[in-house]
Formats: sequence, structure tokens, C-alpha cells
Amino acid sequence: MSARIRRRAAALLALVCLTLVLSGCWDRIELADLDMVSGVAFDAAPNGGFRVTVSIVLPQNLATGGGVGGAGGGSAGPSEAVVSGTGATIGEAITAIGRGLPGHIFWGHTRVVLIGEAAARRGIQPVLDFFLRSPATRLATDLLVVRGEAGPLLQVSPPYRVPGTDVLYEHLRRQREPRALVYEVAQSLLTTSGASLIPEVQVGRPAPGGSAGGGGGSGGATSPTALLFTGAGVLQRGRLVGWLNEDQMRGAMWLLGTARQGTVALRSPQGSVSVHINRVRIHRQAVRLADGSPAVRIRIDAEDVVSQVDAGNPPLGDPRYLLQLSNALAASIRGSADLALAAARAEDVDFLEFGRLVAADQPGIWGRVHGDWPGIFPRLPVVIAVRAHVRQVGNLVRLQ
Amino acid sequence: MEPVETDLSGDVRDLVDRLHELAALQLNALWLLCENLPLGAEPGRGAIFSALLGRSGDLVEADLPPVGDRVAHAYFLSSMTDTQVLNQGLVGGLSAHHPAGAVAELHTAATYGDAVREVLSGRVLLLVPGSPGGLLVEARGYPKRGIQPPVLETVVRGPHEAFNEDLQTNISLLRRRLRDPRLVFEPLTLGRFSRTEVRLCYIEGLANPRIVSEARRRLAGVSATAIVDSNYIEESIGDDAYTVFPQVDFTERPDIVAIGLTEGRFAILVDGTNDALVAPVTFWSFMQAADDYYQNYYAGTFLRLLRYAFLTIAVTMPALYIALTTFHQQMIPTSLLLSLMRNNVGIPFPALVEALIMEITLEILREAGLHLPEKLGTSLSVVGALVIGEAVVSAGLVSWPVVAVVAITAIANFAIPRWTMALAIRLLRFGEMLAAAIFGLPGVLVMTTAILVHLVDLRSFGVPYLFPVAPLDADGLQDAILRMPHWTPQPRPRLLAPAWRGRVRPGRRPHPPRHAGTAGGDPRWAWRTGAR
Repeated sequence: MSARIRRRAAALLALVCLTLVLSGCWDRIELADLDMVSGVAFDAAPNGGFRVTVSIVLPQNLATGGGVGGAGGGSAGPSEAVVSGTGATIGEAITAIGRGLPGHIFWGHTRVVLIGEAAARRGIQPVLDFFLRSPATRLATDLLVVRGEAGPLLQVSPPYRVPGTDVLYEHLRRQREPRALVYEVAQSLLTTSGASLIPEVQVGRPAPGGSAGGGGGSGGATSPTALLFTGAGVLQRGRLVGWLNEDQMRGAMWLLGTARQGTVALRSPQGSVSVHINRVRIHRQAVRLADGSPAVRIRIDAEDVVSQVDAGNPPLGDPRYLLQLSNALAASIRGSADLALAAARAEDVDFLEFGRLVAADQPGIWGRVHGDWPGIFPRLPVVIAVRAHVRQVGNLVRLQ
Repeated sequence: MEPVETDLSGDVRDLVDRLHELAALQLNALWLLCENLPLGAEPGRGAIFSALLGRSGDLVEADLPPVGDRVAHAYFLSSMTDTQVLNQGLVGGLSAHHPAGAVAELHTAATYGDAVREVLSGRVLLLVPGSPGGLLVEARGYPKRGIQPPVLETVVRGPHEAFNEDLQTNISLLRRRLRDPRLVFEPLTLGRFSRTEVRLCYIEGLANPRIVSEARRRLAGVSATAIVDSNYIEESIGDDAYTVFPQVDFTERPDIVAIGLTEGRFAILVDGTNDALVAPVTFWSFMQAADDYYQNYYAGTFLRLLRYAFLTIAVTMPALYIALTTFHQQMIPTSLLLSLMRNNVGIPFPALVEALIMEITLEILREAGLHLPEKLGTSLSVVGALVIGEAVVSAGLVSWPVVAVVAITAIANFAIPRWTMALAIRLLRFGEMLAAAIFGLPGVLVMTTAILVHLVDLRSFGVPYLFPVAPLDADGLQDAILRMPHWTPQPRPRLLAPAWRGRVRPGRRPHPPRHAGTAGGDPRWAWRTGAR
């Protein structure tokens, strides 16, 4: 090989190497060009279209230091900007939003997806489809339904250190509320019943009087701009078909096995006591009855501590009283579970996932009955056994 | 006839120049002629020495006081000899017929070349008229540094002695640590003009003889005009001519050399260089500090493991920052990403340029700090802290996170115990950063894999660079990854010492005496437990 050919070969090789470099950086996005979507809301628009609202983080207005930023960062402006767009499809609506934004819409850190009532009644399949297909979104994003329009909720800024979407996300993350993640709801579409629960969120004060159910997180807000979890939407085959109130939702959590903690106020002639449930074991099982038909057995074990003596002077040192207390707590749990079961039967929607349970535990029966499950489900025998134990009565007890 | 008016001055100057050239030629020619000429008893030999060495002012020719009817002429360089030794030894000693008692060394020189070289190295040449050859008297004395604490490899606990530039001192530092006749210092001379004395040092019977003979072969192949530093040798004896990784360890600590020798390695001492070369080395030996062996072994192991984390940081952290922030923002936790975004508002440069600005600023400071007189060091650090810490960010050129990343990386790089390896890591970091900026995380992955492939391919005197991890030698891992207690019978590296021999006999774990009454109990300690 002559020197000239070798030199040419070297030059050619260098050029080839350079093309490698040229092809790079094509999907490089600098942080400064990122328009990060923290929350998104889907509403129905006329003629089957969608109105998509996104809240975009404004990093320059985030408070310094740790945390997720802050709405009230002194002289700084709002930490999020809310932009919306309308289109015949979700894609068009998002393109419309993108036209007004300086950078790239970034879905990688979207934390909550709000769905308006009208859109949910029409079917959330397009929303799920968008999330499942796009590589940029996360499948473990929380879905929420809103009575009425969902978009305005993104503009609510509660007077806390974090934007509204973060309030919702932090609540959900701590499992104080039932969660419905995008991929879970998508999976439920594949089941026979195709039913799922999606937590409902509202703006405003908590309902006066509250409820006996747990969920220490949602109470106590006094500001009219608070975001509250007030129940759940019931979906069947991707369409919103009904609502559960808060009590029914708590009951559903007990029956689904997702309940973790809660505070219950119990009244008795000797005084009233709040107990905090801090440890829950829920066992769900499908069994086969003698006649070959399915049944469901749910055992709930709750351990709790006395968190507060609200009134009177209950004899907390008396084992008989504690037994009474335990029974009262069990009855309270039982009551809300019954409410949820009744709601499921009334609406004939298997959001308690009994079908899945039967399919898992008794596949033989399931093969026989799944064809007419909607007919069987409302009459399915359900045995609920609740046991509660008061484990600690606390130190501030006057023993008689 | 009229005298011709001519200005001779120009021609004279020219003539002088020509004469000088001639003289230079003459010296060169004389040297080439005489270098291998046997030194006999010919009467003109004194004139040859005067001609060869007399061009510089420091040659002293002296007649010693006659002993009987015999006279001796001494030739030596006043700059290289110790006058005190001369006065006592030569003038006093020789005249009293007591040559061997007063002088340190006595050789007969074989050729003119040898004799001249010996004179140049500081010895005194004695010529006795009529007797063939000459006598060489050891009277070397020249300014040298004392033993000082190490500059680069400092320790908290452990010896604070470092090599200096004098070969004899360095040999004595090693001999004091290893008093064994099997410790050998093979003499060599390298460098056409420098004639530098070099010693190949190893423990006979411990070092792999094939590695030692390979070292001998490679040293013989070193060709240089002058060996001014050991790196002239280091670069010429490596296995791979094109690599950023050091293939020979360089240390200024005699204790590290002693440890290496007892592991079956060899060392190369170079006169005029205040460090020793140790080989064969593996990647892991560059991650070990002398400190590891001088403190508690739990702490030593912890620090050793920590250092691998530092290494990872030093190589990849800026690259990971660039890749994650420009390609994979979804992989950053939300709150961290928001914090990064907040700091990035209004920064005009891409992440790579930001990181490069910081890295290069740091390199400038580092280089300047190295070459600056010590007294200006404080002003440099003030300027550096202001420039790096404040101005670059305040001016909106670089964001705070990049400053933090680059600073952490730089400090992690400082934590790598061996300077030569730290230097290699510094270079690799830039490669990783470029790969990250072009291809994102896949680029970092490919680059790191390429480095690993290169490391696996690399050898030092035939020993795989990643040994004992690749190829795996489970026993060797005890020292490469962990720092086992000194009483454990850890084996020497298998490839270095062919005869497998534990460094310590087994069963030497210290323990208090067993209680009396139990099996193997020592009755002398019975009082402690009250047993009768």
C-alpha cells in the first residue's frame, strides 16, 4: 500500500468518525429549554374533542433550597403557569399548547392527571392511550377525577409551601388516599369486569360534620382554596358510571386491602375516644361453596392506639372497656365496608375486584362463571370478618 | 615595498573561532579515540588526561608527596570531590604506605574511557609513572539533599522518609528496611552522555526470575542521551507504548518500595531522581496508599473501598451530570430536577460547555498552582476561590450545580493516592464528558466499556493490569480490594511470586492467653480467673 493510499484511507476514516459525532446530540434538550408539566387535566370539549390544561413549572420562581419549590416565595411570582389548548384529539390539543410555549413540553415528571367528569363519562381510553403510547410519560402517574371541569383545579394554589399538584401528589404518595395509577387502570380494562376506582378531588371545604371514616389527611382544611379528596369515581370499561362518597370509599379501601391507617372517633357512655389505626392486615380469599358456587371471604385485622380522649373519662385501664372499644372499632370498619359493598351491588360494578379474586383463587369456578359475572356478582356471598385490637392506651390515663 | 594596510582584527577573530572549533573537534576526536584505548604505562598519558578534562576549570592535577623513589600524579575534579577526604586520605594516608585504610574504594582502571568517567563521577585518579593502569580513590563529595519527608505521598502514621536524588542514600534507605543478602541491587549505566547509574533491585528467590530477566532486557534497550528523570526509563520499558495508564509505579517512599519488593516486584533506582520505579504493577496498586497498611485494618479496608467510589466519581460524575441533564431528565428525581432547573435559568451555554468552562478553569488553577512560587500560592487560591466560587456563577456563565459537580470531581481526583494514576483519570474524564454530551448515557456506557477493555488488555511486564480481578484470583482479592490484617496468612500475588508462599504463617491471630483449666490453658494465668 503506497503512502498516498494510506493517507487517503486515514482521511476517509477520520471523516467516517466525524459523521458519528454529527449524528449525536439530536435529542439533546438543555434544562433551560424544558417546560416541565407537573400536572395535566383533561376535559371534554364540544364535538368529542378535548381540552387539555397543563401546569408548567416556572423554575425561576421556585424558592431556593430544598423541597419542590414554593408558591409563596416572597416577591417571586407564581411557581407554575397554567396553559390550555383545545383540539379534536388529545394530540391536537397538546400541539396547540406547545405552540404557545418557548421550550419542549416535558412529560417525564408529570405527577397527577386530572380528568373532568364529562370527559370521564365519555371514556378515559384516549387519555390512557396517550400515556401508554408516549415514551416520555410515566405509567405510574396518579389518575384523579373531578366533578365538573378539571382544568380550573390546576389554577388552585393552596396556601402551602408547594403548588397544588404537589399537594395532591404528596397525599397520594403517603397512601392516605386510594391510588389509581395509569397502568393499573389500563390493566383493569382488560379484566372481565373492567371496573376500577379513581379518587375524586374537589376544591373547597370539607363537608360539615366530617365522617367516621379514617383519612386524617383530608380534614382540617379551612381555606376555601384547599384541594380535598372527597370520594371516588367508579369506572366501568373506561367510563365513569357513578360516584362513591367518602365513607363508601373508605369501605372500599378496607375491602380492597389498600387501607393502611386512619383515625376513628368512637363514642361510648363513659366518654368518647379517638383511636388511630396504625397497623392493618387484610386477607382476601375466594372460596368454593358446597354447591360449587363462588364466595368471598375478607378478614380485616386492625391494630390501633388510643390517640385522644375526646370527652368524659373513659376507663382505659379496664380490659373490658378496651374490648368494648375494639368491638366498636370493628363495627365501625364493618359498617363502612358494608356501605361500599352495598354501593357496588347497587351499581352492579365490580370495583371491589372480586372477579379478579375468584379468578386467582378458584380458577376452575371462574372458568365457569366469568361469562355471566355481571349477573352473579350482585348476589355473590361476601363474608367480612373484622377484628380490632387496642394495643396502646397511652400514658395520660387516669386509672381508677 | 609599502606595507599593506590591512585590518587584521576581523581575520584574527575568525581565526580564533576556527581554532576553537578545531579544539572542540580535537576534544571530540580525542575522546572517541581514547575511549576504548587500554590504559598502559605510556609516558604521555598524563597529557591525554589533561587534554580530555582540562577544558573545564575544575580539573586539578597534583603531584603527591613522593613515597620512597616513587611519585604519583593525581587527577580529580574539584567540584566532585570532598577536599577533607582528599587531604586526610591521599596526602596523609598514601604517603604512610596505607592506601587501603584511608580510602574508600580502589579500582584499577582498564581504559582511558573508564578512567575519565570515574574522574567525572568524582573519584581521584592516581597515575604512578612506570606502572600500567591507574588507581582510583574514592573521594566523592558533592552537595546533596538530606533525607526529607515525602512531598506527594504524605501519611499520618508511618515513616516520614523519602528518597532523595542520591543513589547511595536511596540504597541505604532500602537496605535499612530489608536486611537480607537476597536483596540485590544490580548496577547498570544508562544514557550516552549522562552515564546515569541505575540499580535494578529485587529479592532473589522471591521475584519471578523471568520477570527480572525481562526487566534486564528492557533496561538494556533503553536508549537516551541523558536520563534526567526516572520517567525517561519508565516510558521506554512499558508493555504498551500508547496508553494513558501508568505501567510502572513511581513512589518516593522507601517503605512502599520495600512492600513491593517483598511481594515479588522489582524496583529501579535512578541516580539523580528522588523516586523509585516499581513494577510489575496492577491497576489496584495505584489505588492503595501507604496509609492503608499503617492504620487499623477496618479503617484501611473502608478507605480502600471508598477510594473506588472516588475513582468512579472522578471518572464519570461530570459525564453523568451532562448525560442526565441533557438527555435523560426523566431519570432525575423530580425535586432534584426542579432544583437543577431553578439554577439553570438564564445560563446561556449547554451543559457540556458549562462543565468544560469549569473543568478548564480548574485545570488552569491547578497548573498555575504547580508552577507558581509558593509565596504566591495564597493569592492564587484567593483568586481561584473568587473566580470559581463566585464570579463565574454571578456572571451567569455557569450554574451552581456544575460548580458543585466539578469541585466534587476535582476533590475525588485528589483522593486517588498515586499521582500518575490521578493524571490518567483526569484525561479520561474529558473523554467521558464528550461521549456523554454526544450520546448521553449510552455514550458514557460505551466509553467506560472501552476503558475497561483497554484495561483488561493492558499488561505490566506480562502481568495483566486488572489481576487479580481479571483474570480472577480469589486469594489475591484479599489485598486488592480489602486490607486484611497483617497476621492473616495472605498469599503473595500469584503471578508475581511463582513460588507460592504466605507472607505470614497461619494461626497468628493475636488473642489473650486461654483460661487455665480449659484445654490448652496456660497455668501461669490461673490467678486471673481464680481457677485452682
